[in-house]
Amino acid sequence: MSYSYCQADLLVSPNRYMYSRFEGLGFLQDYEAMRRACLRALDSVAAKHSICNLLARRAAPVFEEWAKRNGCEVELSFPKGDFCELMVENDAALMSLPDPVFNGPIDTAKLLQALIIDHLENAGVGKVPDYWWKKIVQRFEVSKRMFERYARPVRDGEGSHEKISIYVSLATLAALRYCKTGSLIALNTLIKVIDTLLSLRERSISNQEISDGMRTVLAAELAFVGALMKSRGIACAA
Amino acid sequence: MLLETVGMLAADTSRSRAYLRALVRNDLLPSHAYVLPLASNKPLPGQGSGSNQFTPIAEDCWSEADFDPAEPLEDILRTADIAYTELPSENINSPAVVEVLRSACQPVLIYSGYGGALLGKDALATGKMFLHVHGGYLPDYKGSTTNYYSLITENRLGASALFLNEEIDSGPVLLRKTFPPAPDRLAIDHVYDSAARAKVLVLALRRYVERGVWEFSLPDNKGGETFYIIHPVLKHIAILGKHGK
Repeated sequence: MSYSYCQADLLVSPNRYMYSRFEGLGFLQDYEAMRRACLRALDSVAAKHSICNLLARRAAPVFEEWAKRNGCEVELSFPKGDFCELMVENDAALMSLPDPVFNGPIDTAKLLQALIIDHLENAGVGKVPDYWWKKIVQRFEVSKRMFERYARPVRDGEGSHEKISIYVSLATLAALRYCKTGSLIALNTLIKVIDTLLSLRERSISNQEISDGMRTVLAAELAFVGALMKSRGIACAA
Repeated sequence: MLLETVGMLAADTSRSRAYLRALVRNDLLPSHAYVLPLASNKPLPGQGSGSNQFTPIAEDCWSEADFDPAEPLEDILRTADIAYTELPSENINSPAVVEVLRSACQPVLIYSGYGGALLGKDALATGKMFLHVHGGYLPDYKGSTTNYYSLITENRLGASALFLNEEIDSGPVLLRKTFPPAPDRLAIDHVYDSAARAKVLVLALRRYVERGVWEFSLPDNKGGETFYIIHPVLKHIAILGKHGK
């Protein structure tokens, strides 16, 4: 048996997940084994300077703190290297979330970055971040794709839907929201986005621009799912 | 009892079979059924396969779990002597289907379409009231596969009867009910989710017959969260989990 939900390129043929088959405890074991194998494969991938990697490193302590509170571990370590703190340009602009009445085009990467920073610097939840989170999740769930821009927030996608860093940022945001709210909607989105990322194989696993992001979201996902299984009395020793 | 003002719009799914068997069992017969055909051999979402090895359950809430998910719809309609029309397309929103619905004599249509198919603006503008039973307790659990989510968080299922409007799962609620965990969690998709919905449908129709009007237990169905199709990992946790929070 093997985990089959990220075998095809999901940006080409998205998964709908409708009426998925029950495959028993072995399915969860296969899922966990597959994710751990991907995490190990990332051990040898250095990180390049990028906003995606920087924000993931900033988010990591949040997940470590969550794991501590929930009596589990998050297996997260960043390879030593020349990675240094990157000065994020226009930090102030990134930090401000557009007002919900804003009707102009949305830059998806910047919106996600702003939402992540809002989590790291502020509450991360509230009328404005919740509004944008729901819009973003709806767009991903409807098409399983995230476009570079949305002409009307947040409806008609424009540009490429293959910018991998956008999916990593979405996964980071979903993980932060799960930490903050315990919402299964966030966890559900996180797992699906990671399926999409891992279906890209070398484009995601060997990509130095997003490697810290990949490490972080994979480690967080494993901790969240592991804790949830344990709380439901499901023993999953792979 | 024949409900003159109530028809049924039914796709060939396990849910439709559960509804019809429940309606027949409780003598609440729609006066006409409008059946969405199956245009291809490929199963559409919601079409179950296999049989329901039903073992009588003491709990009254599962009274409508006794049905065959694979029984041909038309067999049930014929033996219950319910008049029916096959619709011109499997697409609920095709102009031809919308026209048939517009012309239907019954002001209320019980809706049981193919999984994932939403009624569009034209169908909703026909003036008919579409009675839908959502598989989840509203307004808390809007969207899709919500009973798996509520199993994880609350160790229970739910169903809510409502009239459809343009906003998903946000129409006025006639009646809603919670249910204990399904006796067989492997059969939620094609048996127990359908059985919960069928039970609420029966209760809502019974209340209408007794009172002569449609009364709403939750007229303002606002708020709550919208859930999306559950990922198989979480679905397995819902099925295998031994206890709720």
